[in-house]
Amino acid sequence: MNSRKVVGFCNLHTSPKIGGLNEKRALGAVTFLGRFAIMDFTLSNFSNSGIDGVCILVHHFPHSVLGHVESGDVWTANTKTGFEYTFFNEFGVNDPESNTDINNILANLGSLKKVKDRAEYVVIAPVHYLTSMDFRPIIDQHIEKNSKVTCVYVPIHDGKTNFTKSTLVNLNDDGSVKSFKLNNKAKDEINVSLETFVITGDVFADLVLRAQTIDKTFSIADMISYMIKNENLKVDTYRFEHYVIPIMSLDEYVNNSFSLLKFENRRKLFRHDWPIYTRTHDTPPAYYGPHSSVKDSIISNGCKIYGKVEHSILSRNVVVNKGANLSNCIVFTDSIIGPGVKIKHVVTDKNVLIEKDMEGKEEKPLFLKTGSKV
Amino acid sequence: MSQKTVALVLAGGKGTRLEFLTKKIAKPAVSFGAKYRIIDFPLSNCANSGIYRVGVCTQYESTLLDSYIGNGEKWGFNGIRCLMSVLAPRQTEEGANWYKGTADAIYQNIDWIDSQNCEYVLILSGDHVYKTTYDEMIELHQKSGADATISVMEVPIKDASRFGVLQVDKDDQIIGFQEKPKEPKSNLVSMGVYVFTWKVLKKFLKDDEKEDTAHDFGKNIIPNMLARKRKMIVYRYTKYWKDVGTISSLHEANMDLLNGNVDLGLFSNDDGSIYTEDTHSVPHYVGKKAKVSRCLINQGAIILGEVSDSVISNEVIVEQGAVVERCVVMSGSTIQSGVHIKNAIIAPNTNIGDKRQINLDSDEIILVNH
Repeated sequence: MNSRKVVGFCNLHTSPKIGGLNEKRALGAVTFLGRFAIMDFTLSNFSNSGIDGVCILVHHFPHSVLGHVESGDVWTANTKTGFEYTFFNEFGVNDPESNTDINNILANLGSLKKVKDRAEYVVIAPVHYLTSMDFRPIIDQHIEKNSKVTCVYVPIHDGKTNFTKSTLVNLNDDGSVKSFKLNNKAKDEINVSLETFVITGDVFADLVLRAQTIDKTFSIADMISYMIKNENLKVDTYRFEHYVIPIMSLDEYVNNSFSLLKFENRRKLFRHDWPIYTRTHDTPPAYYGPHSSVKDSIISNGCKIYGKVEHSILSRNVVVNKGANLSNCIVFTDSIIGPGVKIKHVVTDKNVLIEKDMEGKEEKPLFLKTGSKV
Repeated sequence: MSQKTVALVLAGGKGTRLEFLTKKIAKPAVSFGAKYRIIDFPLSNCANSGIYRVGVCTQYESTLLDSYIGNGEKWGFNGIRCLMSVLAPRQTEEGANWYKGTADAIYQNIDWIDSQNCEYVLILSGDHVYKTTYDEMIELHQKSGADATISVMEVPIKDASRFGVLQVDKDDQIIGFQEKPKEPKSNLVSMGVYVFTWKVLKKFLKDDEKEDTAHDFGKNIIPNMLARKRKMIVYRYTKYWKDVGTISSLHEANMDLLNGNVDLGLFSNDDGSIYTEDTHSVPHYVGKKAKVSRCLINQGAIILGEVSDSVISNEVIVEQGAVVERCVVMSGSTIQSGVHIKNAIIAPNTNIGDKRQINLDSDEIILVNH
């Protein structure tokens, strides 16, 4: 693997909007399960697969990505030979339609010889599918089959209700991609495209350069679809049969977070041999007071709990005061739940102060923006 | 001022009284407070004091400790103008020498200290738990023009005989010193934290090296400086400080973290944070039938049973039906269903099963290991 030259692209251009949580930050920078950022999974997948050269394609809110990634040292094995570049297309701000992954690469690639030299193969992966994915067998298959493009998909058995915002892959008899289409919730047995592609370097270079001449608003996925349809490009597939969590709406974010309160789900997402790296914040362990009562919850370091917490997920440094009662809540970093306050089905962004009782609905939790005081 | 200061951390001791815990690792590398190793405290204190150059003298079972210290990145010492050096005993022209005592450990590194062009050296111990910055102490040392400043705290007189005891005049100048005396003449005890003016200390280290002594700061260097009427003063420290040299004091210091009255200040932003390695764990999970009260719990733990008054490290599992009271459970240990354990330190990676009932009728603190 190390002898192969592979560049990973962590693609934030295709991140869906999920409401308040990524209104002012990239989806990749949104907290997940108390301590991670959503993009940690993709970056750790590259890292654990031995891909030590990574470009992060930032779509918008670059500060939120840079603040988390910094130099990328957390995910880089060798800090001299490896790299973690952050690509941002400044011109995309004024021209949102053409703020695509392809234009971002074109805007930045010119000056980066190091990336070009290493890109015998490229792996493109979005951040909105959380999974522990080893790219090595996928690249192996790509090379063995002498493929130009390999698309990774996951078979799903409850497609009418799950992965409802995802793109599906229609397969030819030989297993290659016939077409992509959005999940119309008609069938339970579906193959979901993980928007993850392995592409041979020269095919990738050609694809990126030509896209401009065809349609300047084309994304990599659009260009692949176009080439399947119009140029008979054969896109091979890799069937990935592991646990995948989609984060394409607030509902998916909330429900899938809660699903990880189950040990068997956590064990499928967090494998022993597959650490998910994130930036440490040097917070002390969580403290439980004499009258605290916590059940079925995930609690991050730095929390101080004097009240009651049930079926909830607390991020770093959350304070639950005496007599407070939380259930079915997701509380982000530095938030405070006042004494005696009862909240249920509430999702808060960072640094929120709650001093009165609040209750959302199971199917529609109340959302509080960063810095809210209620 | 901290720019003119180099810190040396004495981290070579064996820590025999910690029994199994220091069988394979040096005492400064022993786990503390669910997340940390003891040496994180002096090293974080240095970082938070703006001391950029730190040497750590290691000797006993130094491999794990040396790799843990690495380039000092965990405490931020990998930045510009920073230097973190592990100073292990080594072969030289004069032959191969172990560190014979605390003063000898510094003596053997005179060249390293000289190469730093510092005015002051801060001598710290790698096995003390406290959170502070040294700025005030170094400033006091400089302003007073002393050759040595010793950090002291007041203890009940009955406890003083475990320490080096200092007598001072009305200006806090040291006029008498007793090392672990049977009858202490004062309740001011040395914390083993010293600031020296380097050129003075260097002379005393060289003189001491010629004699057949224990080459120890408390036994030799301080009494010699006092005998030769060097100006030495005390710096009065009033915050939390603990020497965790025994199983019971290690347990007690961990329990102190759960007691609001004596505050190490882990949760306070004053004097910065305590930095340590990250275990890349998932935040901890507390189960549907779990009971947790008065605990400190680190990421990676899974608590399904009953835990009270305890300090739980990463990757610890307490199964449903297990009861853990007043325990310090170190990383990777599992307490199986049906086990009831009290007043214990559980060494790392210990698996306790067979519905064992451990130490329920005793207040004595025990160590449990595999």
